[in-house]
Amino acid sequence: MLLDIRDLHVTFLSTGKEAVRGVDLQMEPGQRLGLVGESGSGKTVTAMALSGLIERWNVNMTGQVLFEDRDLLACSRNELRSVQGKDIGVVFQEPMTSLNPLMRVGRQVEEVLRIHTDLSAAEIRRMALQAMDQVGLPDPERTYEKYPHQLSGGQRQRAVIASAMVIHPKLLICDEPTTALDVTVQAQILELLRGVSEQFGVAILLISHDLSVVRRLCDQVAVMYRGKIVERGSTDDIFNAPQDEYTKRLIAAIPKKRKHHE
Amino acid sequence: MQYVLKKTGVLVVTLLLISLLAFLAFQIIPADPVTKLLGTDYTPERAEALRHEMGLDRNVFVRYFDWLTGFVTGDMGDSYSYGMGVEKVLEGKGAVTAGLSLMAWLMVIAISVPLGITLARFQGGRLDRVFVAMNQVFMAIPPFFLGILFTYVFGLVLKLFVPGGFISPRESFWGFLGYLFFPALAIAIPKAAMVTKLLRSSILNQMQMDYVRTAYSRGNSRWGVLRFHVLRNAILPVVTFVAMTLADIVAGSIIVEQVFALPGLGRLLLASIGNRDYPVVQCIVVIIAFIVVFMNYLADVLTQYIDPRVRLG
Amino acid sequence: MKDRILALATAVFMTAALLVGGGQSAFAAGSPADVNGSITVGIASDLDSSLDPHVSSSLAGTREVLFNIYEGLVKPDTQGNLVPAVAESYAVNDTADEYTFTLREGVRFHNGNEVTVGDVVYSLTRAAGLETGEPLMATLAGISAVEAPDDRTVVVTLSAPDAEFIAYMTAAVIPEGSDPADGIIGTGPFKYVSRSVQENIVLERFDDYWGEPAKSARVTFKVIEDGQTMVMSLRSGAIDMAAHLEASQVAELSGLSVLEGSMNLVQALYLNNARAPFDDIRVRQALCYAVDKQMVIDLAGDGHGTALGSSMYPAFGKYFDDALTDYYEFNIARAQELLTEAGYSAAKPLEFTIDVVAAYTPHVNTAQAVVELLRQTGMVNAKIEQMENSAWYSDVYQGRDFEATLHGMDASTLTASALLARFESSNAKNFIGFDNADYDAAYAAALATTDDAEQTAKFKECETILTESAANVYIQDLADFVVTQPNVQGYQFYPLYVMDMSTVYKTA
Repeated sequence: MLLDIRDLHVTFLSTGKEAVRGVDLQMEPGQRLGLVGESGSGKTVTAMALSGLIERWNVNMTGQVLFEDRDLLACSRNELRSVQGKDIGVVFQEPMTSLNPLMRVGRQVEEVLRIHTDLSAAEIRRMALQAMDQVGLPDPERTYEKYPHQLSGGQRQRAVIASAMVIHPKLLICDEPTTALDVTVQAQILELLRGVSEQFGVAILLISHDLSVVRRLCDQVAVMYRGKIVERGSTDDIFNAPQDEYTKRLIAAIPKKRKHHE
Repeated sequence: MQYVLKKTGVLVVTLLLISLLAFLAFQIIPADPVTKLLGTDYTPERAEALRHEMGLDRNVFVRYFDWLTGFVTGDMGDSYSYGMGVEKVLEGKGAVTAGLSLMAWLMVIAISVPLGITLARFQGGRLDRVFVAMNQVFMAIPPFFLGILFTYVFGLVLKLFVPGGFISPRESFWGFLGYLFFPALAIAIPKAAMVTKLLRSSILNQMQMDYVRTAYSRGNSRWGVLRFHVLRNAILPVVTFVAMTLADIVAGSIIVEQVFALPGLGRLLLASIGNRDYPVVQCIVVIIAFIVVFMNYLADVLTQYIDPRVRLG
Repeated sequence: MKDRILALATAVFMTAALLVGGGQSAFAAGSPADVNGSITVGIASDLDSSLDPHVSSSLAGTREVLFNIYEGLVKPDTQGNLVPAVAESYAVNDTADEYTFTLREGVRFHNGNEVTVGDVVYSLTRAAGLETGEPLMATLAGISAVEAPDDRTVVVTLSAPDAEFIAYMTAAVIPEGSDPADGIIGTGPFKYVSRSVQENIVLERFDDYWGEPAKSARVTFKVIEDGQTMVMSLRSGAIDMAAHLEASQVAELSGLSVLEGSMNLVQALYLNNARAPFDDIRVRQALCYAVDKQMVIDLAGDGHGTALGSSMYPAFGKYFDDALTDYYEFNIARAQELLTEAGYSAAKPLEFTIDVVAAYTPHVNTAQAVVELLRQTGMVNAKIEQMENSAWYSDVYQGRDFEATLHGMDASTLTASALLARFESSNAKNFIGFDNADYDAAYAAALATTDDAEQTAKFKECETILTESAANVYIQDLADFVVTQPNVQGYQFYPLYVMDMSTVYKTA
């Protein structure tokens, strides 16, 4: 088992709001799981908690997040850092802002290697160029030297993905990775993520409010509502025979046209 | 190239405008050089004769043009109140003000950059809380007050320097710099408080940005995020401010020069305004305007160097 | 004749004093002088202009310093007497319109040349503007000719008799054909070395001086405009002495020698007699009754200062009439009565503005005390307007556009005219617009006579008229403090605004 979340509760100290109320979730290596729910359902908080990006001083977390049998909640900051980036990569929603505007793209792609490996600069650069090539960035040599503002939105998201997968993590958390992109680019990015997953055996946890997106990438779906997982199953099962009332409403909410298009 | 041309154009126009305005300002305020020269010996006839002799009875624009052509050809004219060439009057004064301002400016940077970063890094820590509480006070301390305080504490009590014992660079360069230390510090502290505050809040502001989250997700430590990602971004809004601070410091040095009995441009400017000594005032005004415009230019260049999104054109 | 305007506060210059009995001299007996000593003196404002001794616009502070470099045919001593200098003797004819000087032998300029009659004739001709028709020194306007009948004698002829004229012969003697703008050359105990604007002026002992040589080898006048900095500089030892300090500054200095003299000026609330409300003598007198001079001196000067009742101060000796000092004894009821007569009341108070030069702290402080005392009448509402020096000259002094101004007027020569001429109705300097036929007659009579007693009587009559007609609200002659380091000795006050450094020395 790659990931085993047991009875996770997350309460924000500042507001007193319990955003996650007893989540259990398991993932196998290489699996692609979609975590679906409307905004405020606690899906992003869950993902942040397991990627260690939640600001700990602001929350009270109970339960366990076992990543390869290691409880991330019990880890110190430093221990957590050895996992972040190396074993768990994250792709965020906003490709426009999730790259540092003042750092060359190539440097950002390879940063994770510099942090977690002792490879030579030349080797790191070679791997970065390769990853950039793999995510479909044109002319990696030149793109390496560019700044984020010189790339299009889709290219930026590819760069973010390249920066996360260059080290071949075991788990890639994608938080609404396509929401900010237009439809054709969306499809390409989802295709890219699927390819990365299949080629390198990277498990993907896809966070999305959009079931149609999940359906295109994931084999498993978990539906979250008000801080709890209300339903989990294979993508086909959930779509064809949703059990939970909330899931049914979610599916019904997928625009007809899009559904048809699927 | 085009940028340089454009900037140079702006510089020339600015200097022209400023010097013209300074010239015209003297038409509005009461009294002219003759007033002061004659003092209590004033009679309308003597004043008229003297004005004629000094050419002050000519049209203001004619006089300005006259001054301008002189200035452009390197003749800064004669001071009315000191009876010598302006360049002679200014001799040595520029070095004092330049030394004082530069030292104060470097102090501002040397204090505020490490401090701002440290405070942001340990945000909410004891040092940070103390600073935030004290910052208003530091920013509000007038340099002349600090000057008096320093004179008393460091000069009279601790005897680290001799108040009033200015040493000219001709006598001893290091003694000169040594004497400037406390005046420069008096100017630097309020400015450093401002820059520290600005840098700290700029860093904290940047820490909220998405790319910082991305950086953390790669396993960066807080220091790594600060150093490799945030700092460069955070320094951007500070650069222009810091550059313009130098111009501000030059202006602020006027008061501090009084307090520490430093024979600099600022004191000379005040005295010359009082004396209605246009040629001296014009020259100093042009120097200060040049510094302001130049620092502006420098800020542009630095910003562009730091931020690839900005292209000068 | 320059008013002392400048002086005060900022300072500069002045000095003088003669308190009762003539000046405290700081000769501390005993300690030998360090003949190689170097004295640094703090002065509160930079010297003006080109240091041309004949340009009479030179500020009092400049004159004070130049006193050490230049000399005239005669020069004042600490008692207010005029003693021979470049001249060894002089004679006046009976009609007081021809002065004959015999030059001293062996007097040298700082450039080493001996002073000749040619130099004297050149100097006086230049200062009196005999060739240009435009006198550089207004006091010399009465000269009609300067001649040298032989190589030791110079004869100065006046266009009208003037018994006071010898006082003007302190005008500097400079080398024939020279222009001070090109080089500062005089015959005084110190020679000019260098000057840096707003920084300092350096003098060195002139070893070939004809008289008693200066006791110190070098004197540096250092410009320190800020009063607080002046105090700090004294405390730190950066300067050896400073003159014209105020009581409040002196209070911060301990362990240093303090000499008290007086500024030799007439500080008063000068009233514009030519326009309302002060064209009404009742209003002027009311103010005189309402202002308790001693109270003002206590409030503004910590009790230091000499109350005055007219345009004359005690250092003038025979011309000073102490009976006038308390002519208007403090009397609020009388002041209210006069104000009521003039049509003012609590409901309709007298309102006016007092212009003061902001840089002259003692005047500002005094003005504040005066405003407070006037408020006690319940019928006067005065407000203070602080202004820049140049603006004061142009608006108040030259433009005469003011109601009242608090200022000090000094005398540049030891003549009663230096203080009294300005109240003659047609005088160009009569900025208060005083117009009194009796005064004009008395003043003219004083100038016309060659009889000393009569002249003195006439000048006193002038002073009395000023007091009786309440021309101004006279207040005081300010106290002048000179502070020196304990090892600095020999400073002497003069009844004029000069700072004689030749007697000052550091103990070895």
